Amino acid sequence: MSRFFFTTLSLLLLCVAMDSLGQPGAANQRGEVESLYQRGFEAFRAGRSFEALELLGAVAAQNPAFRDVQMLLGQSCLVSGRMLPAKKHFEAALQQNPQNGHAAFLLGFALLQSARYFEADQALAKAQSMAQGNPHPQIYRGLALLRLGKPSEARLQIAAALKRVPDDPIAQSAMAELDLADGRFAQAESGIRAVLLANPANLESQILLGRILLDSGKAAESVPVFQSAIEGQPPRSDLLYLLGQSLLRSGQVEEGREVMSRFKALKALEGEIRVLEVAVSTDASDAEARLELAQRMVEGGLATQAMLHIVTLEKQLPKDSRVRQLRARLEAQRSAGS
Amino acid sequence: MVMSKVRSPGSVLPVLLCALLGACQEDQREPQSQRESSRSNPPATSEAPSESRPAGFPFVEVTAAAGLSFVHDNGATGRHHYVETMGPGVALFDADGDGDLDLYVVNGGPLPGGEPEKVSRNRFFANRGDGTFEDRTEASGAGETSYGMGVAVADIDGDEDLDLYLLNYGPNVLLRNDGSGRFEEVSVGVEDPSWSVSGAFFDFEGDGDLDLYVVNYLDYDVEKEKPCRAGPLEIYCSPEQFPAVGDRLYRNDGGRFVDVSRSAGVVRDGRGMGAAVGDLNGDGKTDIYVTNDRSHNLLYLNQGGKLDEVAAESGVGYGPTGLAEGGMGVALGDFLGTGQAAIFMTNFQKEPNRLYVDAGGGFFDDATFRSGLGFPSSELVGWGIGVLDLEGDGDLDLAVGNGHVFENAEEFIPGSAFALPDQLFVNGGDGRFEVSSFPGTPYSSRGLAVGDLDGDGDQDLVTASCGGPLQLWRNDSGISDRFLLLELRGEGANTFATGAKVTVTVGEHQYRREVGSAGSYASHSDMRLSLGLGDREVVERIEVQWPDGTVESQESLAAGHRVLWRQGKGVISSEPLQGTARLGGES
Repeated sequence: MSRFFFTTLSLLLLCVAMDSLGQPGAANQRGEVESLYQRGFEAFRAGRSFEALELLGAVAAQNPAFRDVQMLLGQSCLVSGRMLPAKKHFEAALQQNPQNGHAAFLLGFALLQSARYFEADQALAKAQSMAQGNPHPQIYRGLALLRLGKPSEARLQIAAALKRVPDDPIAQSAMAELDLADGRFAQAESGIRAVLLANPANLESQILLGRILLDSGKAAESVPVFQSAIEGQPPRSDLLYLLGQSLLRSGQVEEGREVMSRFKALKALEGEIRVLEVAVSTDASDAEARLELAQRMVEGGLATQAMLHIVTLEKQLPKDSRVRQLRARLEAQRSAGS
Repeated sequence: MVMSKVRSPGSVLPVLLCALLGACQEDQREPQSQRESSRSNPPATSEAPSESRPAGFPFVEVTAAAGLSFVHDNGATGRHHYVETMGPGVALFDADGDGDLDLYVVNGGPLPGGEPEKVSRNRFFANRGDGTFEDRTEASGAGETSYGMGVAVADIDGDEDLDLYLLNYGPNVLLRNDGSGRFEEVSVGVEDPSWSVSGAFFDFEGDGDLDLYVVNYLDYDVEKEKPCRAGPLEIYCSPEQFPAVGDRLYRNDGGRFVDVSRSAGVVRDGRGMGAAVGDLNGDGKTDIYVTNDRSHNLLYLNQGGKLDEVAAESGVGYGPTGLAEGGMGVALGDFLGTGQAAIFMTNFQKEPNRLYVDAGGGFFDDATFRSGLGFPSSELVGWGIGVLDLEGDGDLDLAVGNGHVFENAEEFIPGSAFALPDQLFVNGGDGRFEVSSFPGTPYSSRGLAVGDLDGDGDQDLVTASCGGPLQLWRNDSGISDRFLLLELRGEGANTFATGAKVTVTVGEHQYRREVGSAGSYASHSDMRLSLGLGDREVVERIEVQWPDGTVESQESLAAGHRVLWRQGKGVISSEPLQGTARLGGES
């Protein structure tokens, strides 16, 4: 389902960005700040989040209230997967303009993505009241309520949203997830199949369909669903686990064991990565831990995450040959992949 | 991809370069402030029993009125030593053989930065039989002073009394009971030096005596602990920062124990928290399920002297999408009343407590949400578990102790708190549970045990909180006539018949129970079986399959009685469940 979130979110962000193009900036903002902002905005629009954050961060450092810089920073953080920093920027944007419905919605979204469901519910309720014509705050609020352990309230919100936008894939997926949790397998299956009919390539919906089939005792039917989902993906332990379960439960024991053993190996690597991630987040100056973490990530095929750490390492250990070798290895891996 | 502890719909959002930029460098945990004080549990309980309880809620809190006074010393000084977030466990068992349940609670103690001379003892409270308890810690010799975590109870030497095994941060201790409720420390090979949390006694190789599975947590040294930080603030570290230390299996060789972990197939993996034993695949041998914190749970199928770990393949090692959750307590039973073995386990916040039900063929299905157990627990942190029959209707209900590990959770996890309400899950008999929360001031519960403390047939409940008070909850259902309290005595060294299977036929209804030695979190519940009979006056038939495989049965046993059944001799006594004086004094 998160791919839906992402697709929809991208569209929403683009809308916000396009809106802001037309807004008159403060007439007296010129010079360096203006130039940084324009370059940052262009980088953001072009999807160069790293660059956008750098430029817009510099703008905010000089003038935190400059135009919509907080919104742009929040969105750049959001698409980069850094939800809590995104939250801070949206909060700042709301402080500047308490009637900013987009900021309220994106704040709620960031909180939902950070698993801060209680706060997400509150922010999305606010966004819902501020933008009554927009069904998305209601849909995501339904999801927040579902994660908060309030299925009845979640169902009410999502059902109401579905009345307004019956074909909305996020709302349909959310309802399917609710049906799965309640053991209403037939409804869940038909709901998610409707989503897939409109967008057969949607990975998260494929996974949800596979889970519904697996949980409803149709393990054999879930095997091709997971096989298709896993194809072309970087290593994902959740997919390996689900495929392993579906194979084992459908009687394909040997294949199932083989997949489960790949799953276990990946989990072991993830465990090591997690320990190193905690070490790096505890002490960001620990370059040796970061180097080991980046190495493990490269081993695990986690190219994007590895690159984040390599970029930092290039600053922390500029002359270290191990860092150069690691970058070369990652780039070779990427070209082989492409 | 790297799994985070949260179950988030956004777990697959692409992670780009933001992590490296100043604009995004705040710590994900984002605490706003940190208290310097120790745990923020409110003061201990009221003097008199509180009679105010929600309609239909069966328990009344009677701690002080029953003469119980205990506040757990976790040694917290604001330095955030990881060890202070765990324990204590609690046990209900008849220590002195007088027929009623006594109470044992584990204590912590001073930690670096605290008062090194301070002595904190585990406490033993003997049931006087008049509804009150007497602190016999000193006289009993059970006032152990290690930094304790949990307690396991069994007759390890076959002399028909119950001995205590104490699981510590530091070497574990075995206290042998002389039968009168006096204990003596003995060294019999189970002084495991690791950080242990829970223990489970069971007959591993079927030779008639009880072996011991010890659940160990982390490789951790409080003296060398490196503080963990979130920005400028010191916080508790994550369990993932410490390697697993590996559980231990000790074989009982005539009263001395031998570590057979390696040869038996105990894996080194797992930051262990809880264990429960029972026959999960119906082959007559006792299996083990172990909950682990942020590492996958373990299911050991007993192959007769060998353990085969099959949790991941069986669908009970991970959450539904392969995430290793923060497993805490565990209990086994036929929770859906369908005759299928099931595993119920408590979990960390954002991870619901899980119910796995035997689906046949070596697989378990996740019935967490459709049973109604999932959603109400999603935002809580669950620990101890009580398995009980609240309505005397023959199905199994559940009590769960909740509490956060962060003493300032409310400051950086909106909607959460260190002290969280405990919960009851009442089985509707249709595969769904209805939840209610315990009334009154919540604490940060850990250990939980159930047992009939006042001899009236229904099960009372004890919770022990981290850095907070012990609480005794009297069951005021007043439905003695709906129960038969069954106490089994086995032949040979397994005198309390751990592992015996009991099949109860009441009218058209038939259900099974198993005498267990473990479950919950770090705690031990009464091993007698409170068999609910509904509105029937007679149980048509009870069949006991003893641990050695022999089978005996009895017919037409009257409800409202306490029955003692000795292997090979049948029912040797049956007394009306009149109850002793009411717990907490007044009748």
